[in-house]
Amino acid sequence: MKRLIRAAAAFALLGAASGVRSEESSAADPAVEKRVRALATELRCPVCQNLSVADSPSTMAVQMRSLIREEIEKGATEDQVRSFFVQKYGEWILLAPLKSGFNWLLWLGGPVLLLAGLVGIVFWVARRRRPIEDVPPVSAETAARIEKALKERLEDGA
Amino acid sequence: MLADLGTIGLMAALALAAFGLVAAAIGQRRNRPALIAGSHRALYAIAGVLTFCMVALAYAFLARDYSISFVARHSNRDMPAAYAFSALWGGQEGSLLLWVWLQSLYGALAVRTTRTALPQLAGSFAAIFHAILLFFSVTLVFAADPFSRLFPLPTDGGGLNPLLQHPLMVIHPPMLYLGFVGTSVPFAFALAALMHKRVDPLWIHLSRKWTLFCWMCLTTGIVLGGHWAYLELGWGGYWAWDPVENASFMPWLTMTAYFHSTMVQERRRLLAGWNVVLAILSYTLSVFGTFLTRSGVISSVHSFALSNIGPFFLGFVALTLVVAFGLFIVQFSKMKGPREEQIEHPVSRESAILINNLFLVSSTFVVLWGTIFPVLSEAFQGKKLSVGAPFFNSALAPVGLALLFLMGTAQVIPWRKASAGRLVRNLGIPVLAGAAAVAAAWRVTQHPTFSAGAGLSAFVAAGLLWDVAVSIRARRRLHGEATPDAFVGVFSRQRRRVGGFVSHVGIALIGLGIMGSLFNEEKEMRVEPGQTVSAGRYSLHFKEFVRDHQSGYFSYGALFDVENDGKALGQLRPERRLYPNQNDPTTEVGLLKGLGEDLYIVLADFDREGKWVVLKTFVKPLVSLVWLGWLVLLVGSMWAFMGRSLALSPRPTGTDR
Amino acid sequence: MKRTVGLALLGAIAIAFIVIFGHGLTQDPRAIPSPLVGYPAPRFSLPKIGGGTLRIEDYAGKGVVVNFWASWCLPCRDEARVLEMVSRGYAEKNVVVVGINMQDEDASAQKFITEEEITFPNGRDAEGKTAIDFGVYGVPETFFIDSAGRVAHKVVGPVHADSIIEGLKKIAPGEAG
Repeated sequence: MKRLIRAAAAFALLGAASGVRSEESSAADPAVEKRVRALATELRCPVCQNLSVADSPSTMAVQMRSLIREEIEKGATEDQVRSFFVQKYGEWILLAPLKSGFNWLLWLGGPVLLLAGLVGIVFWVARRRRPIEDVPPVSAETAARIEKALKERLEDGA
Repeated sequence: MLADLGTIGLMAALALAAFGLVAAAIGQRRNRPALIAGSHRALYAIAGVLTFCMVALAYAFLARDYSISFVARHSNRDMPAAYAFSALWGGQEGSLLLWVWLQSLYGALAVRTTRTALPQLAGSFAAIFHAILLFFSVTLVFAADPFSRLFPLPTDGGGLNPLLQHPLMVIHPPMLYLGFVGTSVPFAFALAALMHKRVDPLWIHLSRKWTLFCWMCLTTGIVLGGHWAYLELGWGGYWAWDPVENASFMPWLTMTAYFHSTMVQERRRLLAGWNVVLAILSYTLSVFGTFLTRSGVISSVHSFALSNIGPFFLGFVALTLVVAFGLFIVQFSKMKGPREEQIEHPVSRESAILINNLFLVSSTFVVLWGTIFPVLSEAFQGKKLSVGAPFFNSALAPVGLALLFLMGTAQVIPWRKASAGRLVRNLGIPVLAGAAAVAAAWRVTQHPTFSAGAGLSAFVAAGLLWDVAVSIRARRRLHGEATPDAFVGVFSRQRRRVGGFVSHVGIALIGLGIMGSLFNEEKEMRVEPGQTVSAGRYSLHFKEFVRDHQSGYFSYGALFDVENDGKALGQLRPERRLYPNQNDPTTEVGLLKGLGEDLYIVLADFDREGKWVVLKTFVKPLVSLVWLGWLVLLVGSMWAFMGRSLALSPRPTGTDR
Repeated sequence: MKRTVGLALLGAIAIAFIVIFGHGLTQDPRAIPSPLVGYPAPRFSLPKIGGGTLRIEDYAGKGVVVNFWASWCLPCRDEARVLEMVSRGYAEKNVVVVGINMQDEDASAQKFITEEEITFPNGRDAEGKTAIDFGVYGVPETFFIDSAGRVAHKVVGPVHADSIIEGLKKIAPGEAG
């Protein structure tokens, strides 16, 4: 019984948003909706684990989305909305860290490794390169052997 | 009683692993076959003992033996038997037991099947498995004993998170663990080869099937996990770049790189060192990933209840890194084996595979870097950061497209050297098909990324068809077979080649399915009973509000009639449920699956009197291709699995320059 | 030579790995410091439960304890008594307690106040704007605002006697404890 009371108490969380202006968007401007959604995907829902404000079904996220909508309708730019949330919650709220200072390490790590790898491969191939010209012409006997080998290869697979 | 036997079993496993490690090491060093055989028997004994522990714990769950704390915390009396059984891996201790049990099976089987083929390495090989098992059994006994007792006995257990009470959750974790743990087999082979300075590819041949098997399990585990998230979490997606997902994706990427580059070693005696590195990386990343999600160092959807196993795992990962790479640095230059062959031409299968490897490893690094960056940021700049989908998507989408391109190209470039004529012949038709697909996709969608992706997918698929066509012609010419026989011949005789191609088509399908999300349509609206709303081509009529308080949980649902152009498609009933002892309500989505698109609706909010609901609707094109692609991938890799390894079939020496 | 360099590098990586993640193990990934601490508190003006308006300006020059709560939140119930005691005990020390109810319904909030015999003023943040302004993650959270109107301290989760005194010390120096 006590369990059920707890359950009922927690369920109030759901109905809670009833006090909230519903996110009625049938009349909303699709361009605004698109911007709201794009911004909401960049923000981390504070009460969830690794979900964005756009994806989370929590009341908090619903309220945040309506706040973003309001700000955009008032003419705020993306940067203004973003910095508003950063000011309140810290950089933590951004799902993609700002490209500045120490964070450049995050953004550049992958591309640097890829480039270094490409350079490495070029050198490795160059060092192991053997000109194809020094292969002697193939005799008739070898050609027959190759033909036979080829047949076997077809059986082998790969 | 049962609990005591379980704990004793774990201690016995610990003792056996310690004995096995010492016996194998001394046996190998002093050349005492009896000791090595003893260590092998110890390995089989560990597998037996741990199997007993698993059975005991499973029995305890089925019998709801609440004298065992782990059972009491993760099951209750209302649970159906199947979920009570799967609750075994629903928590920290039990899932660790599953891990170590699978590890003992892999170790015992791998040692058993290779002891005659690889007698010189048999001791070292067993020693590596014993060392791994020793670590895990120490962790189980001292930090996460699944059999630890509870007193006084509770009348009922805590139950399993209802989100985990799903058929997919019965198979997803074992599949994933089969994949994670399986990476230990190529790892142990590679390490043993290093210890004995053997560069020859025998260990690659011997581990090929193990590698493919564990890769298939890992793939399946990941896809099933995504499917579960799609059905149960209700946010409309299947992949969130959560640390736990990344932890499974990283070894998947390196394993994929590994079994591609081992082909280069089989064929061309190249990349021996690189393959060792990939085998080490795959295993290390598997363990590191589980450290990340189990230790609580990073917050994740799946984070286990806080425990003190973090330091154990941290030490183990560090030790693995130091021993494995230390051995590599010390031994590799001294390794003996067939001389490495040379690259004949920069445009060849081997260099294409090398570049594909680079892209796979770079992706692994990006995933790893993004996953651990919050920890680095906190340590170095004292700032909490989040790294999520926007980062990973923007960093990896171009790499993904490049990989699709490389995959389609590499599979049709010949080994050694591709002459211009050969390239045109092999690539001509696939390129044309790709170009046609780009044009078609552009006409329909006008979306550049999607058009590129569609083109690349068609390019890959046409590569398969063209290759089969060419092979059939070759068989007809060489063997004088009729077309149907030649067709069967190509599929049955060239299993590895055809299997590989089919797998690539599977990957291309998955890629296309993922790119379908570019066209997701999402809407959120307030609906009252009797109202009809639209979502994409569908119209949804809110028929009635449904309450159910009878099924052991509180449920609020909304029943919708779904129509498309006046054609009834059935009813959907999205729900929110609250289970006893859980804080957050769960989501039951209403899902209408289709080959072209899915209609996915969620109850975002509702009035408890049923006067209105807030409905979130998603129209998700091409999602089905992700699951379909996985099936194709699985069929292809199974086909390749059944193919023969090159070294075990006689090779004509004449072509082996 | 090359080998020595390689081994040294490996050793360095392993040590860095252990130090960084060892440090990471001691941190709670869910504990996020508020960037508001040390800065002027956000202003708010909310309908007061039971009538009237709750404005932070009305308490200018006083220390203010702002507590975010909801009736469905069980820890909020646990801490209600502590907050009530502070509200009564610190009245003459120029510290006031105000509650802000969020993610809730009017009737349940009213019932909670009656049941827990709360006498300090409570505002209702129906749209969650004030909560977002304060960077609230969940309930309960408590902010301590000094007489200059700056956020001096924040407690996530229910306040206990110890944690509330730590906060009070920062807004009413010498008075607390």
